[in-house]
Amino acid sequence: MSPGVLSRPRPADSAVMRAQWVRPVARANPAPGLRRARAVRMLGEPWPPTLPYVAISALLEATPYLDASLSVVSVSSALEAAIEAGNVYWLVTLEDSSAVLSEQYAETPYASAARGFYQARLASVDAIETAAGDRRYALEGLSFGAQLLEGSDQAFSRIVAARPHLLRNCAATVWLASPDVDPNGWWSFVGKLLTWEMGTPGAWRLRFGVDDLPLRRKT
Amino acid sequence: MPRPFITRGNWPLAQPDVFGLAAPIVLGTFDSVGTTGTGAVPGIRVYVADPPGAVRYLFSLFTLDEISRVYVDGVDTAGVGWTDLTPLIVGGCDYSAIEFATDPGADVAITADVVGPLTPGALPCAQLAFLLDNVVYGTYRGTALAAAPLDRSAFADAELYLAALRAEASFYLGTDPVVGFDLIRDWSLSTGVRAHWTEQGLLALLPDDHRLGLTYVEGHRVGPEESEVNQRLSLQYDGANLLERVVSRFLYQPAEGSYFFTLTVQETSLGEVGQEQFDRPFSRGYAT
Repeated sequence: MSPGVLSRPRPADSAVMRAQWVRPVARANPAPGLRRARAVRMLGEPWPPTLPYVAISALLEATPYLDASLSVVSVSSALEAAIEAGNVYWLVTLEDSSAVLSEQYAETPYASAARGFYQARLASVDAIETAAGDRRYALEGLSFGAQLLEGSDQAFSRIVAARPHLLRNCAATVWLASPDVDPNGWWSFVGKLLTWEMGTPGAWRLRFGVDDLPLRRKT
Repeated sequence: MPRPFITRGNWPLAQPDVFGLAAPIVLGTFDSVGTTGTGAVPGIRVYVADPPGAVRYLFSLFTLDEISRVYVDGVDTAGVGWTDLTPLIVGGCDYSAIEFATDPGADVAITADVVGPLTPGALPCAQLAFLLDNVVYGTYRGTALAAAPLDRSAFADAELYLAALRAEASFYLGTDPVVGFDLIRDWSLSTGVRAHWTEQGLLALLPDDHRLGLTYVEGHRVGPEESEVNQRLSLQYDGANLLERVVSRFLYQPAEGSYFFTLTVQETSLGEVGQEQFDRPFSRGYAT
């Protein structure tokens, strides 16, 4: 036990086993005076994964001091099993309010009876960066990135070139899906597309965030 | 319904000095009896008949449950001389207003004690959700009314927590426009409940639950510096912060606590946290 860390009961064996799936949580070390600590939670890795996915509920088990009200971030037990089996993939949809833009991407080709075909363009989804309120009770943001690979049709580049106004702040939905799990049990995030940039040729870096635009304006 | 402004289009018989003000909103009870006794909520003179006759004063957007007392220059009218027009529908919005049959005078202050929406049981979380739904998010995206992306179950849990502490709230959103982030921060300062985003993209509330039965190990948090998600519970503090503030939170009596007391000993000249830390706009009595 490192100095200064409050001791806690030894976790049960099952928690130890589950904890093996938890990557070390990166912790920012803010400069003195900044006083804004930020926790980084790893949610996914490039597919195929080089490291196991993180089961959020396992993370909660391994860190029992987390507040119980945060358990809303837990994935379903069925999805957790799929994560441990490596049988999960990410889905992303981008839609603007006028429904002119409707893009669907996945890690593997995916056909939805309700929404149609998801192109296999998604390379990875990054860690979610979030935090509870700081000491001044300011509302912290939440965002995470994803990498989108271009195909030979340069589809996303053409959207960026011709209709960037549709992309900015368009509605984004991200699922962690599994064919073994009912869609109602998939992990999902509903927010907006914040930014996009071409990091390396043929690959776009997308950044998703929460729908906090109305909170920024005066009313 | 976004928060409308008082404009010449909606209030053609108002005096120009009120144009551009945002319509105020009253939530909870505002009662000056026992304190100033001169009325807790100011009226805005939005209608002056021409030729001179009836005059109307606006107290709040939305429908107040009750306009209890009206004061003219701080003197209770005892219900004489005015008529409650609530709900007064202007531009598709419900307002709470009264009408004087004869003009009390442009320079006369008209105030009132009122009971606003979301008063029964004093519902701080419901009040915040109400404002976010109806004022902040409102007609976002320009089409149909959009409800705020709230984690309603977390709001309900926080409401239960505050109800257990018998916390009550009243709020007056004045005529100056406010930024949504500031609204949430003010509410959090008032209640001691933090707001955060869930990983589903929903806005949730996170009470700093200090009640008996919780220990550090089981889930309690030791303070703002340690309440961030996924941080290890460390008692090591930045030396620069060590003596800035000491906070002790407690119930007056564990079984009969009527409110959530906070004893703060703070050197406000140090660090970033200043006097505004002690302002609590949502607390009852703040705006009296």
